[in-house]
Amino acid sequence: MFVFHTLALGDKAEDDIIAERYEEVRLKCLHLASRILGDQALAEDALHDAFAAVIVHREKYQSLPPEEFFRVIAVIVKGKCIDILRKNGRAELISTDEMDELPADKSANTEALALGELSLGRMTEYLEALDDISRQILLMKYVQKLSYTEIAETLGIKEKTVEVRIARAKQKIREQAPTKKTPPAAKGE
Amino acid sequence: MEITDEAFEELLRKAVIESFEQELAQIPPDEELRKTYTFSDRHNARMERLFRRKRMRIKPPQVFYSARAKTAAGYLRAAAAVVAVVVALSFGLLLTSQPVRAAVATTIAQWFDRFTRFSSEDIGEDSNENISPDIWRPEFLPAGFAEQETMVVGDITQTVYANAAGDGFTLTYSADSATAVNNDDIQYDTVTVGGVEYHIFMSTDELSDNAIVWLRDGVMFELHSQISADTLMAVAQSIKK
Repeated sequence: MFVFHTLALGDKAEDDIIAERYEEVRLKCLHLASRILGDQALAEDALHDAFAAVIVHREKYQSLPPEEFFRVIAVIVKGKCIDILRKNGRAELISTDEMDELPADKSANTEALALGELSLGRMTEYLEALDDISRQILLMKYVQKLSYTEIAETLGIKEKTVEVRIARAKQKIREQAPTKKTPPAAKGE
Repeated sequence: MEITDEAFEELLRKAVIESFEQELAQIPPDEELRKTYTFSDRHNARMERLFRRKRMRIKPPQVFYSARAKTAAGYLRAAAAVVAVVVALSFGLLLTSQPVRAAVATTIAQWFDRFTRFSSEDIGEDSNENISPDIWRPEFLPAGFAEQETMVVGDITQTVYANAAGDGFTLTYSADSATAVNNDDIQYDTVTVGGVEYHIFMSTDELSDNAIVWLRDGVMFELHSQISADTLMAVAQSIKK
């Protein structure tokens, strides 16, 4: 048989969508990354790495509407910023205590949260008090809608570490929130 | 009234999204950001390379099949083979130095012979159906790299390998094909290992890929990548059926 092949500009459509999205969001993403990293060159690295990741899994992203794509790429850029901070020794994803088990019993708090005391506004304030990595994992879970497995794969950590991070984040928020004392269980109950 | 775990979870979800929306809303508009930021040339080149690399695809040989469908005469098929080589030359080979010209001419001459021979065969339009090409894979991959996707067109196989950072390389191979290597801004060298001559094209600019081309066991292989020629060479030598 006779075949001629060449590497050529082939079906460009799907990657052009990502390239167009890049043009739309690059300045905002650079700003976001620069604020986290404090260095434009590093911020550019984060932006590049984020789009490299998007291109590898472009089938997941190319159909997103522009606004949703921006939200998702912003989360990815922030994740790449954390990667860079980790590589530069400025952030630690897995601290030794987090290698351990989950908090003994997540529901064992003797202090129960009062619904009226925990408004959305207050919860948002409590989130600000979390460390960058915990907030990033929460973003990946709730904005990017990734599973624990996907978060673990993206961050290159164990799934259990993701679970521990989320559990601890929730625990910290609960600790900050106003509580009402739950009376200790009576003997013999 | 105490908050349940479910209510807490829902409140947390809303708070995370709300907080993130607020953060995004604080980003100034593009008009303002343009006054603050100018992307570096290095970044622009990397992004251009990133998008350009992902646009690289095997283009199915529709032109040749359609041309051959119109002609049954052997001499026309032979002419098509010559055209194929000419196209290969005009597509990518801007030969800028004598050693490169000579070496590539040798390789092209071999391909030309192959084309001539192939073109004399009586092959129908559907001759590329039911082909099960051998699968070749590198036993060595640079750290962090994994196979991403494979495309098979006729007996041409192209596999993309990449790491999480988006660096990647492309392996293309076929028993019956020709290829073109862009010779702009390259340094050319050959290395013979185990009786196989590897033609190494090292890019001297940021925008071009390194490439290695070699013939082995009747199969023509081609590796393209931004990664170093040394690493590509290690990959090339490790490829097994």
